[in-house]
Amino acid sequence: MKRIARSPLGLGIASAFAIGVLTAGPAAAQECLGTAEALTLTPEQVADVSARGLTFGFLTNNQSDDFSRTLVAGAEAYSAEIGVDLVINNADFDANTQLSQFDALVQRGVDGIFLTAVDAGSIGQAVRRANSADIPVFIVGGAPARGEVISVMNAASYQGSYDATAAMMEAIGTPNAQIAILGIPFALQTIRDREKGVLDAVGAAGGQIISLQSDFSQDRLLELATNVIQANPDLAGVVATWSLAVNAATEAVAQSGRDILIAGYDSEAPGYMELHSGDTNIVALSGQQAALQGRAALEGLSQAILEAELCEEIITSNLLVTAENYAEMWDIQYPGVKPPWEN
Amino acid sequence: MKPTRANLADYGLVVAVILIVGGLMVLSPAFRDPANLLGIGRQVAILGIAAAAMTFVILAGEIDLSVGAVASASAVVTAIVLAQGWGILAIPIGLLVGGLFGLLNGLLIVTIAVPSFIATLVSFFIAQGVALTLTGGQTILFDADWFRALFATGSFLGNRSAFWWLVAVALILWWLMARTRFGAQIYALGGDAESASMLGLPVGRLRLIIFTMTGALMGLVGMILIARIGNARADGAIGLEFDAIAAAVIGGARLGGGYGTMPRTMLGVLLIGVLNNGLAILNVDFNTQQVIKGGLVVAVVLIDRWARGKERTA
Repeated sequence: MKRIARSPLGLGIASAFAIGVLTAGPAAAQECLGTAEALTLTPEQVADVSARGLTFGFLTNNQSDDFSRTLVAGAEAYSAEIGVDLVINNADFDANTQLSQFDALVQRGVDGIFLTAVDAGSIGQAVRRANSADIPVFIVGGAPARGEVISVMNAASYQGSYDATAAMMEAIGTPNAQIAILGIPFALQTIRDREKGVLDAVGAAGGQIISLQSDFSQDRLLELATNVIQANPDLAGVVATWSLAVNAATEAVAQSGRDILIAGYDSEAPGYMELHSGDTNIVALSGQQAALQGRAALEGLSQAILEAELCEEIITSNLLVTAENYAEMWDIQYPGVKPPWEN
Repeated sequence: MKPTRANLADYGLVVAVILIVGGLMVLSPAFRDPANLLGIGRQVAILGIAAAAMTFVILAGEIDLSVGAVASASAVVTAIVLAQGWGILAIPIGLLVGGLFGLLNGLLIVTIAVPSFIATLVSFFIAQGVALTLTGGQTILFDADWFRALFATGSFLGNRSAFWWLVAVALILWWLMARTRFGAQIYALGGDAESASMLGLPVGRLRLIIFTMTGALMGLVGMILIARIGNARADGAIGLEFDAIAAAVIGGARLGGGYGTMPRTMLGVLLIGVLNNGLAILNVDFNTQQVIKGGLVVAVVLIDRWARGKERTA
């Protein structure tokens, strides 16, 4: 028996934008650029950047998920808009490949590099070499252990997962509700933040976490979700902390036939289709704005070259996607991409 | 001591499975729930079919590192064909894609004498590239309930169809391996390829058949994979090769070739399935699960080596 998803928090964008401003503080906000919105180039700045004939390198850790693909698309679209050449390399989750690609960009003498690191710990030496060559480096999602980057851009991981989980807990509406987390075994700060957001939201609603399982494979996640549901007859909700876990949780709950609610971090095409179906157990998904991040990374590098000061961390807001607002959120999250329900 | 060693070699894995299942039954009421025990059967369907195919490959003294990527590529093609509304044609097309990659492996090994490790690594990269190119990094969605019921979600005789596909494949491959001239030739090929060739066995043809069959079976694995979850991704089955090799090795197959049986491989699959299920129910975290499974492979291989020590030197 499925339940139509309802979002008690209503429509809207998660409050991460506010968090970004609060983190920097009102005075700091004037001194450094700390949000994606603050990085926006003025028409004069765009003309200046365009006249310089810049080449930026973009190292992506993979291009096999919707987030990375949208990040690349956002960067590509904006580079064409501001007249910057963009060299894109895909490391396909191989840290050594990414190091080689990084060094090749430094050798080539590009004007700036931005990347999603395969392993933020091992990229530090390469960042130092870029520092020596006076090439600014901008990183999306996790600072390197060594070397100087002009800024680190992060999605509102904590707030996004907190908001989605809080929506689910409110929809469950009973004290001591049993909740399972389905995650990814990456030791990244963003993953820890997502899990902390879940723990805090469940704790605030008086629920209890009874299981935390993780894997990299969608099929294995389906197995894990099935096992956890089977083993816990009183399970009230599942929080999936990444895209494939959302798909796996959705399928496992559907196959179980039980009324278990779902909240998720990452809103990709399968999640949107579930919300579009009108017959889903998904209450809310927290969507990262990858296209915005791709654009903002280019703007960040451009601002650095124009000698503006960037804050150490730039937070981009997440979207809270529900059955009520999914069509509107799709247009914001995937600008220019045809919704899957129109195929 | 000799009878003890021989018994351990023959029955050690069975005892290990019984002990682990018994221990988990005591530790967790949820584990011993009949519905959960039946569920293990369908959860190991993909690994089981891959391990069954890998046993043939290992038996012949070869290795196939491309199975995960080939299954992913077949899955993606099948999902695209389904999404385009081509219906039942998706099935032969999916099997054909897998079979063609298998044939490529076989041709590289037989005609250019590339070691199987290298040849299948090449296919791994090509298959992964094909899958990524076809998907453009996107998740492929399809709407075909009949397909999902046929390969994974449909119920038959108390279990899901994915489980029955595993049973069918394991039985057919067991029959081929243990009851046919072809199976005997594979054992001979894996035992000593040079001698097999001198005895007039069609070594090249046997290798072509093994790799093509493995590829086609990965087409089937790809279909079960997407039928289980309802979408296809370029990386859907990446890593499957290592689990399949692990299951075959736990089952006693020797990477040097010439030794291994289908029932023992299925025991290896069952052991991994039981551990995956039981450890998740006991809420053991991912990293600890990996350590336990890795330790188990080492323990089984060491015990097997010790138990068969006398045979090897005899």
